[in-house]
Amino acid sequence: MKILIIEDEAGLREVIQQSLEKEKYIVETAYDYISGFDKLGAYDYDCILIDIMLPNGNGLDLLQEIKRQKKQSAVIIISAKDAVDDKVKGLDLGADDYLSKPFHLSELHARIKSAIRRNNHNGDNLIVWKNVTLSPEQRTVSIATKELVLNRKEFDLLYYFIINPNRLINKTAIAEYVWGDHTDQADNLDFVYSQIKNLRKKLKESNAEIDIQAVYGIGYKMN
Amino acid sequence: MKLQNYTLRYLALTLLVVIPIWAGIFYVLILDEVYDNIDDDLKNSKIIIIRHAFADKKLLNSPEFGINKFTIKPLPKGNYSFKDEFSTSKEFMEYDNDNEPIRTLKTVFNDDKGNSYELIIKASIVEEDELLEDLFLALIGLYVMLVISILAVNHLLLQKIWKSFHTILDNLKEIKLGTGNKLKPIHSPIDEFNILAKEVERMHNRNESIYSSQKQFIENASHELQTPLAISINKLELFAENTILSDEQMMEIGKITDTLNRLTRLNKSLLMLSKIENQQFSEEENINFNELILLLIEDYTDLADFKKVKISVTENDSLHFIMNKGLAIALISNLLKNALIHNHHDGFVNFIINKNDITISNSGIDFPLNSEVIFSRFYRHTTTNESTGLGLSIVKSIINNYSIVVEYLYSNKHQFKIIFPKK
Repeated sequence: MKILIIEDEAGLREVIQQSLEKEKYIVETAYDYISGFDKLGAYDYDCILIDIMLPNGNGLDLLQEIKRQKKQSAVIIISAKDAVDDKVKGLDLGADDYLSKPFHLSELHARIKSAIRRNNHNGDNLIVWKNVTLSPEQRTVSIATKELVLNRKEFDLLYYFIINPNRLINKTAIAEYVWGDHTDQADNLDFVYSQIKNLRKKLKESNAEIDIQAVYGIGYKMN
Repeated sequence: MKLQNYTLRYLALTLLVVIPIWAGIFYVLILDEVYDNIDDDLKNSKIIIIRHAFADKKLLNSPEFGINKFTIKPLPKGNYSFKDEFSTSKEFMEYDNDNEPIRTLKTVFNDDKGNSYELIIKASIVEEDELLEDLFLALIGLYVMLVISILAVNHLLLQKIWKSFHTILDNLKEIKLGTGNKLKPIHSPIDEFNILAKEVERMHNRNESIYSSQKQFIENASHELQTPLAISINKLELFAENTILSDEQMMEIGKITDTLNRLTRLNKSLLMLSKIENQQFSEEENINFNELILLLIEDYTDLADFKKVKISVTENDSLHFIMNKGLAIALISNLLKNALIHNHHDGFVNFIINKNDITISNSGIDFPLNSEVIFSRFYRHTTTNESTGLGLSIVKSIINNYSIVVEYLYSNKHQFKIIFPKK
């Protein structure tokens, strides 16, 4: 899997690159409009991350270029401007997703994975982790061959863990993913903790080979 | 009191004093002039009569007034003063059937033989009381006419002149920073008003540009902060993931991440506020608040269950209002979030929906909040560092955009009532 990051901030570019390389992606980077344009012409990518504000150009123009060249890449716009207009414009131009800065790395991974998955259209979109099989489209989970019934929030939680295996996931990232910004202030830790406790119990009862561990002070890790 | 009535009142009072003073002086001067004139006339008559008496000796003996307006009486021999003596008296006049004032000249002259004669000449003069009466009536007439004409001038002319002033006043009343409203132009014949209008416009433009540059600054600052925040959060995440750390070290990193997350929320709320104030949420649709509230309550069920807070809804009517959907959601969810967070275990949150208002009440601390400041930015009545202190400011700026009113009441429970403008 090949990913291109077009981002002018060196710090952010590096950290995203390192994080993606941990996931065994092959990562290329570009730092402005021109270098981005060159990379686009030279290779094919599974996913392209584009910052809207770039030196000597606009990310949305690059997006148009990708679509003009009929590239099959999934495109995710990352922008410091959480502007509705940019979001709508980007999605209209054919971007697969829009992520506003700052984001958690686990959220970025989740977005990349689902963008690539949706972009591939290759029927079998099941995500398998040991004896757990999860279908994002059907929203069903089976352990070995037995179906496990989860409610909407529990499914979202499990999906987020399975799509981010072996990664340290911040509790705020979990809360934001599953409950939107509704939990953005109060009792994050305790609230998320009690929800995850329920999920763990259900997984354990059906003998799922999933181990969700609490990481003191930060969040959770599944391995 | 309006300026024109105010000036009219003082003008009327001043005229009431000035006109009698003027009338008094006028009366004295006129009377003086009249007497002077009559006296001159009498003196003239005296010269003519004496000249005639010298020519016609018969005249020297006319002791009765008769048709003549004089008498000449011989005087016994003696030393007489030849000075003219004037006096005023009253005498019956047949025509008027009344006593009328008379001016009398009394003098002595000698004929060519040295005999002295007394000459008395009469002339009728102005009737002072009638003159006064006439003058008084004329003055009342003058006063009334003056007041009426001032009133008329005030109403017609001044109203026309003040029209531009009222336009300036209307302009000032309608100034609302950040809306980009243009002031109505003024075309006045009066320089002062034109200058005033120009200065008001300059001041308005200055304020508008300061206001928008400040808004711009907040928005830019928030935007610029996003990338460094992203770098810090992501670097920390990667560091915690890649490094083997002790529990204490993990805990410290967790605390730093939490602080950065808080900064992120703060920043997002600030951005949200400036976007609302910049009116960047322009798309509007008819929102059914009953449905919206039920939907949002569902989203918050997990949090409410966790906090053991019971949420209930009383729908007395259905409430529809045309506004931006994102803002409607932000309005209700900020209030709901607020009600949940500042609640206690086994507490409650209750929505009452009427045709034109929504009341959301909740259990919480046992004393009322200071309603003056709860909507101010960064006001927090508790010291929980989990809250941004911007939730209710967002509520306030949303309702300001739509002329909705919000009231805070306390009666054993905290109540926020949002009143929608009637259609």
